[in-house]
Amino acid sequence: MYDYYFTFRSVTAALSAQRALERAGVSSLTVRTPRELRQKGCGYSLRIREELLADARRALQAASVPYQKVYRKTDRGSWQEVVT
Amino acid sequence: MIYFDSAATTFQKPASVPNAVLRAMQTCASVGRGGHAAAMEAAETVYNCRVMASALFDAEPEQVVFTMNATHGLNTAIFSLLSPGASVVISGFEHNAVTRPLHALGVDVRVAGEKLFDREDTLRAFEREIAKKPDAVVCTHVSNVFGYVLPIEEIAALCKAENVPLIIDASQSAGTLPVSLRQTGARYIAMPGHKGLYGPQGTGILLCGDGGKPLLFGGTGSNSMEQDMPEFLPDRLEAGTHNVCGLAGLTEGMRFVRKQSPKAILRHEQSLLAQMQQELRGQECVRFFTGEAQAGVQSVCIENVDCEEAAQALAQEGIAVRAGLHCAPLAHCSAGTIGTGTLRVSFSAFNTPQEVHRFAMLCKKLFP
Repeated sequence: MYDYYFTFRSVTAALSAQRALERAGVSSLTVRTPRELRQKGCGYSLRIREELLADARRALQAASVPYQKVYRKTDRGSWQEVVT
Repeated sequence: MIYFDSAATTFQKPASVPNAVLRAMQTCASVGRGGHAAAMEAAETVYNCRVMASALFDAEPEQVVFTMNATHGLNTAIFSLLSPGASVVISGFEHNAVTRPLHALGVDVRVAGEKLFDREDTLRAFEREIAKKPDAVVCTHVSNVFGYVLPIEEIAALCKAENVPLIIDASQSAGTLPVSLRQTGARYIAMPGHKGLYGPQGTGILLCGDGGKPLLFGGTGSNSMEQDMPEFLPDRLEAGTHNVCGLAGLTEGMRFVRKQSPKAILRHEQSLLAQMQQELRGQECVRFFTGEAQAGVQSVCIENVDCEEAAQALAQEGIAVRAGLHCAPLAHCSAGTIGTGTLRVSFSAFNTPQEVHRFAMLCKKLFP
């Protein structure tokens, strides 16, 4: 089972997204963006379970909440960007 | 103490405000600087304040920028929009928080509308000046000296039609009159958290229809590798550590305003104003500056009594008012009171008819 990480440009953007997901019944966890995924330094991500990925994408799109990228961590511990 | 100086800062706050400040001091660290529980508690606290403000003022949460006060917000807005030599139109009732940054910047200022309580004249004057397509318009919603409610919606419509950016000073209107970023189309709307929103001092809100230029440069907890401030709001205009405790209190202040309703608060303040005018009607030495378009602020002059001495006499009787020029010499020039200043009474949701009655009785005794 993978965990997926939606990355955001700021904590405000991450919380905005989390609230949109909550309204859609999708649970998520706000975390500091893992080092390997940081593009310009510090950042925040929402960590979402695999089975909620599609719902999460739909909810963020419906709420017009932008995110930067989506990643998943492989069994080997490496990161893969998930492209829509 | 009977506190009638809410135009300076509201002294009585809902109990939930200091409670929230204390709770935040005990549970919140800094926003956007960590992932631990106290940092996330701070982030949630500040975000809740943004959401509350966005609902009250018809904006997106990201368009809500937190400032130290309205002066900070107005400086940010003015320095974002204008450069030296630019042309700007202001009303005849602006506070030094508007006129001083304009003076420092070295812009060409045109004053539109100097007739107190004459909304038609104000609007016609703005119409003439906006037609000349200035670089910006800066206008107060309510005069902090006289309580004059300017026709801001109509001025905003004129600006929109001519594509002239508008900055609104909502220092005296936030919490009592409708303030909407969306409806007005204003480029910026600045307000303090500590007056009509009943929050702590050290808080303010700048609603941003545009990105803006930072006044302050520093850490934002985002894009840390880049040396330019972030392009996106609110981070672009929020360098440094937030006043998390203050914003926790401001959330509760706004919650109070929403629950009471701004309309009801305004009606209450205007009713106290009317009562005061009625009770002092026979006092010939008291000159009221009053008109139809007036919020809960009242200036008076007392014949043969210096306004500062009058305020001091009232203070000794336990009544807090303000006297002098109220950091708004332009307003006094417009109204003809620059030589004397005025004594100003300004109400809040917490003042009562009994307090107004005591004030009137004391005035009759002190200034026969």
